[in-house]
Parts: sequence; C-alpha cells; structure tokens
Amino acid sequence: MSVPSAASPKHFIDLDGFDTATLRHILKDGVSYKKGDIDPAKQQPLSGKTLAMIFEKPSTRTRVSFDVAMRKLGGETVVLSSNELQTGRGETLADTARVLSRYVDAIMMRTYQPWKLHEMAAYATIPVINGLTDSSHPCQLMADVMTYEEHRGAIAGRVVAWSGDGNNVASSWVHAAVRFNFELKLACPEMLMPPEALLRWARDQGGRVSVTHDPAAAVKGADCVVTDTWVSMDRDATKGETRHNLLAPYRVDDRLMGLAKPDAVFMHCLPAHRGEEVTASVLDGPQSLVWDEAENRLHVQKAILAWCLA
Amino acid sequence: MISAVMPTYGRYDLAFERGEGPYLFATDGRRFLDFASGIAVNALGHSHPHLVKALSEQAKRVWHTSNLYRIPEQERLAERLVENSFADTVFFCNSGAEAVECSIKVARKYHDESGTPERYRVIGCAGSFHGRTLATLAAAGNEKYLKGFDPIVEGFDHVAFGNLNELRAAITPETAAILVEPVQGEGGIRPASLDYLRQLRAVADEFGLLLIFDEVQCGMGRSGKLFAHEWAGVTPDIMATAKGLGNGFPVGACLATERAAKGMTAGSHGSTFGGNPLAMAVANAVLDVVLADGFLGRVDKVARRLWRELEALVKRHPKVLAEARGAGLILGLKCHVTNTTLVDKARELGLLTVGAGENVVRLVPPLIIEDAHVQEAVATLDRACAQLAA
Repeated sequence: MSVPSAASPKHFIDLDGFDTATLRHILKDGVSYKKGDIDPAKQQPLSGKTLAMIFEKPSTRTRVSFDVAMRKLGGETVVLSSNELQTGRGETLADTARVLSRYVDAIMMRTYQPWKLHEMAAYATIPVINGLTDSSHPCQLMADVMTYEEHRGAIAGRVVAWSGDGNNVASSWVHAAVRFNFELKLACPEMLMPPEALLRWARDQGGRVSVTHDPAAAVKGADCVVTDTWVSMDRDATKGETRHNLLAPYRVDDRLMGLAKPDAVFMHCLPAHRGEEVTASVLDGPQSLVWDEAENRLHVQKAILAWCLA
Repeated sequence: MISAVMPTYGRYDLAFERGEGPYLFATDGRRFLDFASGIAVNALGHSHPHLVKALSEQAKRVWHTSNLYRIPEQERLAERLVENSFADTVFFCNSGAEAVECSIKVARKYHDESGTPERYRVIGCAGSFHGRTLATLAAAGNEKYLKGFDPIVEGFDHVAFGNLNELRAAITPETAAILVEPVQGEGGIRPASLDYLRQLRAVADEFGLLLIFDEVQCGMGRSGKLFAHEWAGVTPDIMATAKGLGNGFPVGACLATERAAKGMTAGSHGSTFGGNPLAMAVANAVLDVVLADGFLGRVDKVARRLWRELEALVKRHPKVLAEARGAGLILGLKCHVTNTTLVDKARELGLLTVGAGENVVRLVPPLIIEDAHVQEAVATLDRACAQLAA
C-alpha cells in the first residue's frame, strides 16, 4: 500500500506510537481542563475548527464526550455514520480521507477493523483520532490513567489487574503499562487472549506485562482491578453462550476484589452489565471509579483534540 | 561425499522387511509395535488383507491413464467422500501438501471468481504444519522449515492457535481464508477446543472468508470420527486430507463445497498422478473398512482406553513426563526429558513412536489396535520411562 508523502498530521492512533512525554503532556492538559486551569470558555482554542466523527459502531461516551469537548473548545462537529457515507457504496476510505481533509480539520473514527483507521490516517492530510477499533481504545486509556492518578496518585510502579476478555481495551492497557511504567497482570481465557505480537512488543520494550488464566493470581495484591463487557457492541461472532462460559470465571465480584489491596480501585470503561462481568456490589460500590472515569473522557479528549490541532 | 539418497533425513539404522497389523518386523528379525504408523499413515496397519487384495487386483488391470479420461474408481471414491462429509466435490492429488496447496488455490480462485481478487491472503496458526512445498511452508510460517528457502511465498499471515481476538484483528480486506488443523500434529499434538472450531466458522462467515481445515493427519478416522471437525458440529468450506486415506499408498484429496469450488473449472488445476486407478483402488478399500459399521466406534473406545493409560503413565513418571495430550488416536506425551531420548528408548524396547513440536512424543498407532496393543505399548513406555528416570 503506498502512502502519500505529505507532511504527516498529528494523528492520535495508538499509545505505543507516542513517547511518554507527549502522553504526559496531553494528560496534564486534561487535568487542567477538568480543574478549570485552562478555561475553554475564554480561550476557545478550536474556534472555527470542525471535527468529523465517523461511527461504524454504536457509541455513548465517545460520541457525546468528543462532541461536547469540541464545542467547549469553540469548535464544531459533523457526525457521520458509515451508512450515510459513500464508503457504504464502495467509495474507498482513501478517497473519503482525501475529501474530508478538504472540508474539516480533524477526523475521529470509531470502526471495527483497525486497517480502516490506518487507511484513513494514511491518506488524510488532517489529524485522525482513534475513537476505538477492534484492536485498541487509546482515548479510553488516557481517561483511565487520568482517573487513577486523580484518586491514587502516580500510576507508575502500581499493579493493575485485568480480568476478562483480552480485547481492544485490554490491548490499550498493555500499551499504557509500557508507556506509563506500571505493572499489568492480565487474566484472560485462552481463546480471548490479547494478540501474541502485542505481548511480545511489551516484553521487548521492557514492560512488566504478564498473562494468566487465573483471575485470582492476577488480582492478588493489585492496586487497580479492571474489566470490560463480555459482548462488545452490536457485532461479535463470539457472543452468546460460548463467551459467557469462557468469561464467567473472570467476573469481578467482592471475593475477587477482596484479593486486591484494601485500597484498590475498580475501573470499567462502560457499558457495564451488572451480574455478568462485574457484580452490582463492585460496580456501584465504594471502590468503583467508573463515573469519574466516564467524565474524564470529556476532559482528556479536549486535551487530545487540542494537541492534534495545535 | 553425498549419499545416493539425498541426505534430507536423519535416519535410524533400522530397516523393515515386512509388516503385519500393528507390527513391523526388522531385517534383523526384531519385532516392533508400530505406534508411529509411518507418521499417522498406516491407519489400517500393515499388509491389511482387504487393501492388499484391492491393490493387487487393480495392479493386474490398469495402473494409470491420466486424468484425460474418466476414472471410474475415482468417481466412486469422490462420491463416497462427498456422501460422508460436508463436501460437494473432491480433487485428488498425491500428498497432504498437495491437498493443502489445492485448498489454498480453491480459496483464491473463489474470491477471484467472486470479483474480489484482492482477497488472496490466508491466515494460519503458529505451530501448524501443512507440508513441505513452498506455499505450504509459507502457510505454516515455521521458521525452522523455511530457513534457507527464501523468498517466502507471499500471502500468509499468522496468529496464535486458539486466540480469537488475535484472529479477528488479523483480518484485512485482503484476507481470503482461514487455514487451521483441528488437531495440530507436527506442532505438538495440540487439539483445538471445539468452541474454537465453532467460532472459526462464525468469524469466517462474519467476514466472508472461507474456512479451510487441514485434516491431513487428524482426519480419516484418527479422531474417532471420520473427520476431526465433526466433533465440533461445524463444517469447513474446504478440507485437505491424505495420510490415512491411502494407508501408505500416496494419495491426497481436497474436499470442498460447491460454493467454495465455483472457480475450479476445467484447466484451473491438475495433477498427473492424482487420483490414478491404483491410488483410488486402495483408498476405496480403506473407506470400505473405515466406514464399516462399528469401526469408528471401536477407534473411539480404544482411544479412550489408551488416553486413560497414558494419563496414569504420566502420574507414575513425573520426572520424565509432563502431560498426556491429544484426541482420539492422535496422542502425545509432553516430556521433561528430551523427547528424542524417549523415542529412542521406546524403539530400543520395541515400540515405534515419533517426535513432535513442544518436546512431545507422538503416538499415532494404527486405528485397528486392540486393548492388548494398548497394554503392550504402555508397558513398553513404562519400562522406557523407568529406565530414563533411573
């Protein structure tokens, strides 16, 4: 695949593509936006800018938080679904990227297959932001790290345990573990492990990332316990009984949380299904940070947009 | 000086002069219980009377005609395979590698015929083995076998065996098919979970890919069903089989659905020897036995017996053996000692086995073995392990 040679715009694709200093800079701005140290109402840094948001998958938090973030920074949004775009009738993503680059100032794309996002980024002459693919969810992880540090201080050196599907969010946790220097212990069923190449990347980078099939072993002594829904979005060939059987032992309940440190926090990117991947007592309990986590999508996305369009 | 036979094998100094059922008799008079079966080939053992008769009679009639003409025995075998599998059509070749190679060609041709010629890539699994041709080596992606044969044939991607997340992430607009062994043989006797096989079907359907099962080693009754994927209750679009199909006569087959094979028209593929009367006579005779009432049930029964015995063996020799693994009569013993030392020791004591990846000793006996043969094999392994542990 040939890639245009024009000066590359500041895409936000995956955390492994950034150095830690850049990610820290974005996080710091996210915190400032939340605290009001940077007041978008006065500064309106994205005034006159337009963000196109392409959705192939349903979305609550990503859609609303990006939309509101853009508006708070003075910009505007255009929301597009793949059904409405000509891509649904065979126009190439490359051509779509070229045309959108002439209309808007940035693209946020939420899609199934990562190649679509990479194709868009390869041909767009404006920043492209990863609003989630089947492989990763970097914006969520920026909010997650921000939320952990907001409540417990520096995440570096801490132990995070993931119990459940080694899915796109888990993969971004792997990226984050390496970039933010914390230990990540993943507990996943064999069929639903993160990609081996990703784990190899983490090891090659000196990251402290391990995988087990035993949730108790992963969670024991952890500072943070994380999980995600068992059936993601509207499209998943592995949904149903098989998935439930595979993932049932990985449910985060009071017993599992009890193995973590006494002051451990619980995180979940939502949507949550109480009684499936997490019990209501944990999700709605005192250790849960999920609502702050959801709110912080808004603040960190302001920082991502500002960084991309600076 | 190079030997007259190209030295591509590390051979034991052992030759056989005859075989009988599950036994082989060496030129020096020693008797061996054959749990290697020519690497899972001699499914009906040695000198099976029905097969000897079929081959002898055919040899007296006609050996070879080429595929320029109708070959009645080929048509009969194809119909029987179709009748007893998911497939609608069969291509005959000479080996497992050729059968897999044909499967890849069928998948590529399908997409070309469907107006999506850009879909040519095949996703395979780490640890797999599909044969020794350039394309099948690339399909398996095992560096050990690819080394020195660059450039690697293009068009193959690899994911971890059993990992659905990785599989889904590897699918691109260029992906044509998924190629998987339901039980990895050479890779170390690693059976796919039945759920994994079912999910492979679901993922293939979701993305419009063809699903290819390589049953060259695990098929033809070795799992206790005619084909191993039957345990999962799913069907592929294309399947390669060989080894047991000819019980030692070189024959392979690529089975496909009508939809998957829509591009395989006259001139699209061929094989000089594939499906010749000799091979077809033997394969039909193999099917006579394997499809006979109660045969596969007996395979399943004796396989379960062997499995139980091997599990007990592992417990008795924890310093030598780590675990028993496999399905049906494609079983493995993962070793703590080097697997070749156990293979050598067992051979010294009269039992033939074969090594596999992940330091496994492979047990792929003829499907005709009985409880007495199980007892004899396990007793020999017991002695071998005891001697190695001493």
